[in-house]
Amino acid sequence: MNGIPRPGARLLAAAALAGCGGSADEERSALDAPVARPARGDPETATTLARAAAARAAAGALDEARALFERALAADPACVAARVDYGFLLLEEIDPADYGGALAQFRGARAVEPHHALAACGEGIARQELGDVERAEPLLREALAAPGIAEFPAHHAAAAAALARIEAIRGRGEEALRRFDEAARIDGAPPRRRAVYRALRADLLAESGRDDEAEAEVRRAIGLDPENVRAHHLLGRLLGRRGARAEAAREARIHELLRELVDHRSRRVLLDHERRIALRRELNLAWPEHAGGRILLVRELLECGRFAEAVAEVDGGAGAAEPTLEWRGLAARARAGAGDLDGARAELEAMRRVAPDLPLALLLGVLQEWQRGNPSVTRAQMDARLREWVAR
Amino acid sequence: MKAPRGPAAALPICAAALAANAACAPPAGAPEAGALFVERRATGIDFVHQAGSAGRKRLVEINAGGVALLDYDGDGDLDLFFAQGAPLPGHVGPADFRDRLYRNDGDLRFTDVTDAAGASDAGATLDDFTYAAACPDFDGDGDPDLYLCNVGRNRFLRNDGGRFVDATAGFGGDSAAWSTAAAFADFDQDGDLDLYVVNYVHESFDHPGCGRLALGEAYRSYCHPDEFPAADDALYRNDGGRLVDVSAEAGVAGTGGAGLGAVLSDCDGDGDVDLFVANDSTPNFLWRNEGAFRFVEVGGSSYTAVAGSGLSTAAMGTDFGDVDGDGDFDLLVANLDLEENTFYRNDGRGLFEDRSRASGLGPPSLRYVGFGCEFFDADLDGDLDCMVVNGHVCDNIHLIESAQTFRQPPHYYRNDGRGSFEQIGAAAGPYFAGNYVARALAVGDLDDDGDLDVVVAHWSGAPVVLRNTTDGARPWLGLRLVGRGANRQALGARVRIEAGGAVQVEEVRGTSSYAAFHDLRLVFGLGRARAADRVTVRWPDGRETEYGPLEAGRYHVLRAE
Repeated sequence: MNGIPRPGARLLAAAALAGCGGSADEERSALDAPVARPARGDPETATTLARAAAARAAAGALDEARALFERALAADPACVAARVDYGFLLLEEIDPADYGGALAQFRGARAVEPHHALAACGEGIARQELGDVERAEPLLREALAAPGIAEFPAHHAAAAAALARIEAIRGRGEEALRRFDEAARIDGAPPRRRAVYRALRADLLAESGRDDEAEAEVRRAIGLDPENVRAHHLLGRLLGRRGARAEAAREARIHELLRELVDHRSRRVLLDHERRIALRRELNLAWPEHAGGRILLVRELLECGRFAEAVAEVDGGAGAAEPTLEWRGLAARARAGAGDLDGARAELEAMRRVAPDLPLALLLGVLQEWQRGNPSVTRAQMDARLREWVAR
Repeated sequence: MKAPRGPAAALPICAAALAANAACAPPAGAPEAGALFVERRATGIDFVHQAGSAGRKRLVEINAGGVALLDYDGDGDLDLFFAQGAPLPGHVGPADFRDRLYRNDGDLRFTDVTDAAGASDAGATLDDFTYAAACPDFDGDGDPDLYLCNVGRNRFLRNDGGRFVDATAGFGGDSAAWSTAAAFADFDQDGDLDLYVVNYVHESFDHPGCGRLALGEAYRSYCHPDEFPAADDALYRNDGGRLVDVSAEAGVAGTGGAGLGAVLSDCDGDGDVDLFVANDSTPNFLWRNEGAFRFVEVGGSSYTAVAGSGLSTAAMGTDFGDVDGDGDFDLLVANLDLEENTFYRNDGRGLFEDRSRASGLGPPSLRYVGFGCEFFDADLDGDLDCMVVNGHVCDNIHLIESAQTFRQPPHYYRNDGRGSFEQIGAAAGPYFAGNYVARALAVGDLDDDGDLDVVVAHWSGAPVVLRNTTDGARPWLGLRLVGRGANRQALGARVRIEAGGAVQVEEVRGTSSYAAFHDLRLVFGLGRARAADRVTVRWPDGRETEYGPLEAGRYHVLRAE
């Protein structure tokens, strides 16, 4: 996957925007083996189901989304929007990605609408991921030239980055740099992905000896995603190459800690909260300027119910700067879990001064932490507190 | 460069009668004219690898398949040893799980001499599940011994004039963890062979199994190694013929890599042997030899621990080679699909840079699971080419990823002389048009004609012998080094040859690739030169000897003075 993260819910917009009207274009895809044009079915049912699938996907219920897409396509195999959205689900959301499945959907969509920009985009990305650069390249160029592609910034950026990789493989370095830059500049694309594109661009610059530009680029990547592992790895190497040994060693340490946090996340590693917490603590020591690091440590502590330690982190993190709403929310959960409901309420009051209408889910979440940390708390006590907080 | 064709486009013809795990043969009648490698049939090798499966898909089954090349009978040609599995608890099926030794009778025909030579462990229990073999002349008596890397206790079979005797007791290097590779070298330059054993993981058979089992048994899959604790490697020092475990004092204990491959090299050029260990989904190790049995793990600081992505890879096979002719040794690591194989270019100071894409070795490998991999000058044009054999680790991968296949085509990469490679696929020979579940790849001149042939071990299948058809069409130089004292094979020696104005460097390694032990003779293509003007050998103890000129077209025996 070339380091591309899968940040969860992605743009699944074709069904929502377009519905299943489709095109009457009978032209077949000229690419490799012909795909039969899917038979027309019941577009209305398919559209309804595809929209529901997109909604479930956005909520992270990927298996449900998959089943709904299958039903949508059973209702109308020629529903282009369902095929395109399903293709992107298989390509970008399912882990591991089903490139073959995605390709089949995009090709099916193109059998109905040969010049559907998003279908070309998805097929091009899937083929590039499959190593089929010969057939990926024209598809990606077609998609990127389509006027409507800009309406889908994540897909637009992914297509530009896929083409950049192909340019790099073909030895067209300047074109690759230009395409990665294009991908990284698309504001609507997720920052973590844009960071990857910046880091890949920095790799290319470093390969051609343009170390100063590479360092600037990799720092931009870290600005977009402070925990981008590739970027820290490269930055350490670049710093070492220009003789900044102390900085290089620090970057190497940061890289190593981040790597272990994300590397090969199997069940065993994911469940090893002790190790993850230890890594987070070490990272905060090695990189105190990383504002998000402390938040992520508190989240990790809360996840495994270590409320007292979370409170200690919260108190230790109170500095000169006014805490953010996110920080206050975590502090409220930590204090509640540790049994300090008054402290939790004080945090909520501080939040209310900035955002008067606190969501009910937030209040409920704090009370749930109270019960989780204090099993003797009853449902009635929680209800009473909730009424009190809401009334206030 | 043209992209590799995907598995679906490889057009194999699988006869319905083939067993489920047999290899897919290439299309019948495929043209062989001009092929660099031709599969040699009717070799007399009837070995069929068995994983010993009992249907539970234990991790121990799936990565297996090793091969070693050795001249066990001292008749000057290379014999073949194949590592066999063992029955897992509950296994039903054939009961013969002996490792097998085949004597080379010339003309690429072989005879099974396993029993006569005593060249197998019992193969009766999981402990005897053999992953790989190394063939050091450990006792320095002039014949290669056998060291078996087993899932249980490793075994040392001493060669007494063509008959192997189990000498594990008293050997000292019988690591009991699941071993996947063994590298013998004179690490402390005291004249005898020490040993580094690569260990994998501690698999528990109590594990309920992996895969999307909620969808049914068809989705049962082999577990990721992260499901189990990694097993520490072991380092042994030779103290007067007995190995002593010095892992703790040398810093090897407690490092926890899930190791699958190893290769020796003096990659920092300081005169002693360093060691690279390819770890599966944990950072790789590069053990820098500081002398006197002090080792420092410099994978991180040399940038070989992880790929350019900053992440570790599921590393399997590995090899060093000077692919760009700059006099230092670059590094290849064969990885899982979607990771690409990693090519690390050595900057000459022992610092490496991931140049997988620029070298051409990365992109064609994106969809394939690489195991055996080796740099060698297959076409004798004076630069190192590269072969990588592939095969997935999930036999039902198509259920998860519909475009992926269990069997995969091998790759042959031709070097343009400057360190840029092109994967030429079936142009290298019909074998490369087929799909296989390949594991070990060993390289050696099996027919003594001056070019390097290949043996590939297939998981749960028969191995294949690929004859190199170069057949002396280009000038070549062969060298057999005979070292001093107990390191008679000169493991770790470095050779520099000058011929026609070109310089090549190589090392005597034995262990590299995946689960493989190679011909210890070195073969160099000389381009247009008729002789090597000068050959410089740096022996494992650090002393150097110059030879030359040496005539092309034959093997020369170089003895340490």
